[in-house]
Amino acid sequence: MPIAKAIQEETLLAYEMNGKDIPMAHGFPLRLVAGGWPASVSGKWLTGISVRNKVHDGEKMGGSSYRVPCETVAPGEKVADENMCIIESMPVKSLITYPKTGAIIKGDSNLTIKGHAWAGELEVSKLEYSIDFGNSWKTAQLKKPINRLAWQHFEAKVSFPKTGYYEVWARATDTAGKKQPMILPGWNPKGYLNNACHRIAVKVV
Amino acid sequence: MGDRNKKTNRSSYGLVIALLLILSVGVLYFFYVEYPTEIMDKAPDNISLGEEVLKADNPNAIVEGIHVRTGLLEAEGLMTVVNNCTTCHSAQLVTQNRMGKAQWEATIRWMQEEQGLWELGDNEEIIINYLTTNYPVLKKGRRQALTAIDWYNLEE
Repeated sequence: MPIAKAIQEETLLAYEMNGKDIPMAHGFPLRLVAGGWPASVSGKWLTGISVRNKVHDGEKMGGSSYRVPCETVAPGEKVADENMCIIESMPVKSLITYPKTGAIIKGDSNLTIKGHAWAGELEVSKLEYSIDFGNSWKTAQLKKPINRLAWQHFEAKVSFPKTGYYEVWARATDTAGKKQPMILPGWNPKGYLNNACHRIAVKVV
Repeated sequence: MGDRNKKTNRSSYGLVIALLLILSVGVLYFFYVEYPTEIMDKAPDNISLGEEVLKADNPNAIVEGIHVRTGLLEAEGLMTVVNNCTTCHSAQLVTQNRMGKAQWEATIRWMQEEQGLWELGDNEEIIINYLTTNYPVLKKGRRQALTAIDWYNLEE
């Protein structure tokens, strides 16, 4: 990662998670945590740190790995390696983590939805949800991050006008005003940076 | 068919099964102990461990059209894909990519240039045909409808 990211307050060399040793699968005994960036810069099982005068050229880091076309391209277009740019800050994204998709609820009850949102180097400034495929949006309650780059929790009480099949879509907006797209964003060879809105199916009976 | 015939049939089945078991142990020994280094050096042919030889212990058992060990679909070229691709990585790494012929060719070249994949020879066409036929590019558009929803009653 660039030096500027490495020396950020929030970039950690971590040896514990929730007060316990990091599990083996998460990088025991020592790992990097560079919040808001792709996992490629949060290396696990560290044995050393190298300060280099060039971009990382190690195994699985070249070609189209952790890179997207520098210029946007048409889906499927061939892009030469030298026209691929390394991903840095990740785009704004959110997930509905409660309830699980497929909930059937009674017509006269409200549905509480909960989830998490994040925005790479930025903060999430707004979380909206739609029950009519984006025709209209309502604002959910969004918490501030516990520290910079942390997930933000959201919650909303959703009511449905009548019985039927619904989808609840969540859309986060970052502090630069960028919103999650409802459809897949720009194509890239490896399929990175898909921050399309998450949704759950709900049936009101 | 009389009882006598049944008995004869049963005992000859027993003999056949015993022979098959011995044969299968030999086959497994051959492929797992003797063969691996050769597999790494040159492209193996379309190895058929003989589905008829073994069912229970067969590492290449097929159940309901699925190659159990890898999850790949049973179709022409299956074992060529199993032997050349899943030696180094999981089958999911292959099938999560829904690509056309040209992209598969490019991916195979990349694996050969950068990742130590051997020359595939005639097997290349077999592999690409298998993948483009059984795992074709999906016309998904930019957003699919939600499908296979597991409905449940939610009480709050």
